Amino acid sequence: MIAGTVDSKRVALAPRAIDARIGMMLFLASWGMVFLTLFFSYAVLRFQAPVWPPADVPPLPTNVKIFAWTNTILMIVSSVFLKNAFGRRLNSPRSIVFVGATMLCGLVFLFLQIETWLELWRPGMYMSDGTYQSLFYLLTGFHALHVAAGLLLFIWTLPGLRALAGIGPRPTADRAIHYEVRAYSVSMFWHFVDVAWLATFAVVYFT
Amino acid sequence: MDDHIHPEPTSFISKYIFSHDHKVIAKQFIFLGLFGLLFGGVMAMIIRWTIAYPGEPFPVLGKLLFSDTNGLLSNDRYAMFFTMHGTIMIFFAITPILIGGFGNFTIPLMIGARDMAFPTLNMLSFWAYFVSVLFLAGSFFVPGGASAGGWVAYPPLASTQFQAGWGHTFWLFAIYFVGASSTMGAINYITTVIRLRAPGMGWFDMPLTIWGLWLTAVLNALFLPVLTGGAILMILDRVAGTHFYTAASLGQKGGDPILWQHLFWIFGHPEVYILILPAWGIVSDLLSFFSRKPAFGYRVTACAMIAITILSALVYGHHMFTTGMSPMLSESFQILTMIISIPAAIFFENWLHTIWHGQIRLATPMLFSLGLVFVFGLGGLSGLYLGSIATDLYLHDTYFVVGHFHLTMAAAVLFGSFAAIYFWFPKMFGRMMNDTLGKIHFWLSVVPLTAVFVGMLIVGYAGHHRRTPSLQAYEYLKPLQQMNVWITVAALSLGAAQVLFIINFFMSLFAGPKAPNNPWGVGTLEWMLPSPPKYYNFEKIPNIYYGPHEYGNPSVKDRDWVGQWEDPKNPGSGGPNAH
Ligand SMILES: [Cu+2]
Repeated sequence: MIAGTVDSKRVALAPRAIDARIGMMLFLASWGMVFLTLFFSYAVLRFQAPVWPPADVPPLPTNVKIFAWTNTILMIVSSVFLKNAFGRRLNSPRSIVFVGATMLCGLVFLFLQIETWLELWRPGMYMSDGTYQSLFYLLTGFHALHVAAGLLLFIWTLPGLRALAGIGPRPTADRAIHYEVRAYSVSMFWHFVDVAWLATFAVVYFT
Repeated sequence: MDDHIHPEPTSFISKYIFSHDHKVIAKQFIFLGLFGLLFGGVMAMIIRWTIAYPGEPFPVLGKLLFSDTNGLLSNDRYAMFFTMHGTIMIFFAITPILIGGFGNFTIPLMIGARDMAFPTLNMLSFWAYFVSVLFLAGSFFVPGGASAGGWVAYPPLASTQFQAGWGHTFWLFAIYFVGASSTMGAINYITTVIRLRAPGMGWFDMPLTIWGLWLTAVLNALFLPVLTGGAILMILDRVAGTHFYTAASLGQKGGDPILWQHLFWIFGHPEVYILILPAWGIVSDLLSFFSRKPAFGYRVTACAMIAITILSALVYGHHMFTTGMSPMLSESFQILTMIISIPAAIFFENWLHTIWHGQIRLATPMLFSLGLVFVFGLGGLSGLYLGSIATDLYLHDTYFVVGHFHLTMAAAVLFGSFAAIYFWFPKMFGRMMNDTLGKIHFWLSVVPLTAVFVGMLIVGYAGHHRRTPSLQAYEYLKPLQQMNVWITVAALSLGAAQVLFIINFFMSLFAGPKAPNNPWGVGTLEWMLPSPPKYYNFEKIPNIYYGPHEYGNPSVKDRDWVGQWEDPKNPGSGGPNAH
């Protein structure tokens, strides 16, 4: 925006930060459509099957269900941590601690997700076995990729968060906005991944 | 955007290759799109030739391309050609020209911004698109050749059973990257229009071009991901052996091929509006500019376009009447489809009212705009027969469908693109195109184009199946041979007429007369700038006082147009960037 042209109200956020939030919301709406597409596909395929899960698929082992529940809790907790990290201005080392806690949750989530697949591979349940198996690995795998992407994105924000927290040289005002925008966008992505997991969990384990 | 003006890049690479400037990115898209248009067009000529003259090699190119089959297009390659013709024309010709090209060029200029909201994302959008082009081009060279499953890629025709090679998988990768590129572009367009309109420009002060492009961006953002999701499933089916679309049997092992049709058309119906909305918007503006009259019912036109955008999300089932869906469902889709004719008829009426009693200037952009109104009218009317179940069951998969969607998506969008190119060429390149040559190009295009696609409606009505390479194989189709020869003759003349455009384009690019700032006498913001505009467009962002079609305002004496930037308290001031 051009200085002097915002006539109505002065907003606390830098114009660039508002642009980024709108852009990020649009991206998440758009990307959310990919998730919805996968859920829609699940519904179309699932409701055509006479029995679900199909008769030849053994029921999911108990520890897989425990992993899924644990992961659900982890995801919710991670979002709470993240909310805490960004609940205040990003100028204290506390936000780094909370982001670290969020990342730890994500890491454990990913570990348990991989354990889940290993648990199912051992008795021989593969993606190519049938529609049920294809859908199971598709939905959990597609979501897990987002968790991994989220973790990488957090690593990308860390130098900026350090600088904002006053560890090392102070960033210029322009740079500071840049770092805040980046951190905030990544946090929006993570909350999205959290909601996507709740939906995936509900679809895969309860329908 | 920040209030300071960034310095112009100086190196060749940052200026012309990895450019952040929306005007340069626009040109990159347009050149790629024109190249795609040429490529897809030549394929169409070869397809038409094969139908009309079975057993005769296509002149010159036939011997070069198909030396192993005596210069003839084999049936397998015929399928590959119509598949790639459709894919190239939609994703690699129309999309880059109108959306990537003119979207990028017009949005910042017409709303008074210095660039897009996210210039880097804009650049990435082009390069993601370029990766997609590489995949599609590469698919011709993998063993087995490019995809031959039809541009709609229905399984099982598009499954590994019938498309064994990597060609179709590459096609899916190409689609994936087109999706990524379009999403990036859409996010940028939507944000830019929301955030960077010049002060004083309300939503209903925007040119209709911007309305069309903005609504296209909304549809792109929401519905291209559905195709992306569908493509992910198909890639997994092909490379990981999953069972999403496999047709083995419903229930235990197999998936459902119809699922792809759902996903494809949930995307596919909005896609036709993604393609046509920019053309509608552009033409709505041009009809007013060249009739020297305000656009009739400007707000109503904008609202009709919004209504169509919303409705377009609810009608996809009309592509699937023959899949055995429940009658209640198909009737709902039929009714919703028919409802679209209401807003469509409204802005069609508005177009006619805009030119009614106008001082019409038949410059080349105006001719192509009127051409769009004409062919889109034909296309829209033929759509009614496909939207109603009773007639669609008979017409499904015939040349009637081909004629219909070419009149709407191909002919109308092509004319919209030509109108846009002839209109904005001076602003883009700083030189005028040759108007006489342009007019000849128009007349030599509109006549054969109408003949080709109306001809297709007729043979389709007579039962000509859309993918049949040879009429001689079927007794009942033999009488249609002569009609098809005429369609091909018309198609070849249409193709030949485009040579005039290519000559005009390159001749004007290098040797056209220098363009003044405002050659057409138009009041939208880009025409206050020099041709071509400076790197950062506006030295000072203008204030907006008028709508985009301010004609015949009595407060201005010496001319019939008023710029959106002109202060009524200070008439004739010409605004901050006045020449
Ligand atoms: Cu449709």
